Amino acid sequence: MPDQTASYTDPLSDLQLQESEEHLRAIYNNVSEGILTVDSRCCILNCNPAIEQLFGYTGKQLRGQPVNYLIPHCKTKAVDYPAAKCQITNNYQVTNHYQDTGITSSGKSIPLEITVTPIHLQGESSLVVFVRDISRRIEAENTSRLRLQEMAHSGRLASLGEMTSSLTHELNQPLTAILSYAQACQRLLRKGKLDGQLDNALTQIIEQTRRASAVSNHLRRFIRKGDSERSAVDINHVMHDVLHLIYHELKHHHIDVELDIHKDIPMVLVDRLQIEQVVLNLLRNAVEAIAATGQKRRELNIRTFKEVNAFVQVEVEDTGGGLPAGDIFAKYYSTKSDGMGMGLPLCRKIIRAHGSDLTAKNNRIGGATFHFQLPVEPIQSQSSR
Amino acid sequence: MTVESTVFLVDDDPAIRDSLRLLLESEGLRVMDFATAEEFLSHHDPKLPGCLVADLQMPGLSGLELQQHLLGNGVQRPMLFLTGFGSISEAVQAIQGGAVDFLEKPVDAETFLSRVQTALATDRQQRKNQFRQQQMQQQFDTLTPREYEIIARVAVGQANKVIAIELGISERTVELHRSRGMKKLQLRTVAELAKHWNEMQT
Repeated sequence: MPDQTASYTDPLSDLQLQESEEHLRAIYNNVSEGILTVDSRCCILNCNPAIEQLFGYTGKQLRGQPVNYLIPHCKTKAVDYPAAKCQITNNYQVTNHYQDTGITSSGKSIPLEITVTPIHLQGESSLVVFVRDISRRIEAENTSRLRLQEMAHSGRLASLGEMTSSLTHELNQPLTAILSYAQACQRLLRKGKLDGQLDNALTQIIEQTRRASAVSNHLRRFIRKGDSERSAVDINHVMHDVLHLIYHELKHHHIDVELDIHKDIPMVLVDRLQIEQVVLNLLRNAVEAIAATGQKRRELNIRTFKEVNAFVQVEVEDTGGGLPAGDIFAKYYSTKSDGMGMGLPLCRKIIRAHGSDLTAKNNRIGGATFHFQLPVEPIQSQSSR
Repeated sequence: MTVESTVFLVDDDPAIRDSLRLLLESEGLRVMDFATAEEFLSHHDPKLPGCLVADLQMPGLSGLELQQHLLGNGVQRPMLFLTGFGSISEAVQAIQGGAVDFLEKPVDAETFLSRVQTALATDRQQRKNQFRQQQMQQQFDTLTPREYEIIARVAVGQANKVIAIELGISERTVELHRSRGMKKLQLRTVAELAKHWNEMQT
């Protein structure tokens, strides 16, 4: 393309200059991104109409104002660029992308995505700041997070609804023991026959009360609506808590649980309630699968271990009848007549929201294994705790 | 020669077993407890008087299955089932299967003990009836075939005249066998005979 190269090197005529200027100005005036030019003292040199519209000021009002007037924490100095976030675009220019908050003339905060690029204007070093309003994107993210949270909550209620009878049993057992110990002691006392039995009865009453309150605490925590916050969680604790909830079902079906969990596993950054729900769902499916086969080997293996990447792997393996035909992750897939399904679509949604995926495969020696990964909590926030 | 009644207690939860045992012992009752239905069955002697108290929802052989097993082997032992909430349908099945009673956990001491006493009384009554029936059976066994034939007809209400015609013998002969049979059975009235006969047929 020799022609084009020639047109760049040739000095532009006035007309050409004017056309080019008009062309660029049209773009500058109509682009939806806000564009600010900032001098070396961080004061605003110029802005486009998108900035005026976004912040509710005129260009005149803004010229000469410090850029912090619009974006209080704007990173406009070279030292502000954290090395990790910098991107060298050519030999001289460093571009910084990050998210920030802007303040409009009416005092409203708006979430922004900002790109800062150093340039040279008339021999002076300046900055161009590109500003994009991301309120809609953030809002959409919030809405979908809230929706997942709602679904997760109704999923939990549904799971517990199906487990009512075994959970009530779990609560009723210690209560029955407490009542019987107390009434037996009362009767013996009235008959003047209470001697050696009291100490054991009281010890048992205390222990059984603790047992009942542990069950009710687990339940209360699980029924809670949940604020959908990610926090550092020990996945092994999650496993133990969920096993507590389905202890009765495991016992009822004679299922042996083997826990292959690594003690010094790193903390994962997750929504604990949602992950508990996924684990409960997988374990309950496994229990049902094993119960349905009626075969002798009735094992449930749970494994957690650190992957080479920044993830912790969780595996739930059963000795049931293996995966049924069809897409078990499809929305309305169900092998049960009550239509509650295996809850797998929701589980997958939850795991995907955590940046991983829930997958399943048949084992070579029968049964199925479900696995998923959870993101390890970054070291940075670990050290700040 | 009365043997003391025993409460056979079957529950997989050690705290439940221990606490109910204490409660039953506070009433002066003899208790034998078992963690599973299988364990109970392997030690079970149907000849020992007593009743069974079992949890309906147990791992392994459930309360209902235990009941089926005992009934299948002709064991009449009265049963008192303890149920958790929400197992009404199982409880109904248990009752239809002939369980004496069922109680919802947690059980109140007064109710529990009085139901256990009722079950024990039922067991004693059943054993008494059984003993009487056995005795009666032994007495019936002493009858000659002719006496038995005639007594059987008297027991269901046939008149001497009818029996004589049907068997082709004289009314006098019927009367003779009848009075000899009644003497062997130590019975005086036809009503008494009919009652024992009915008991023996069931």
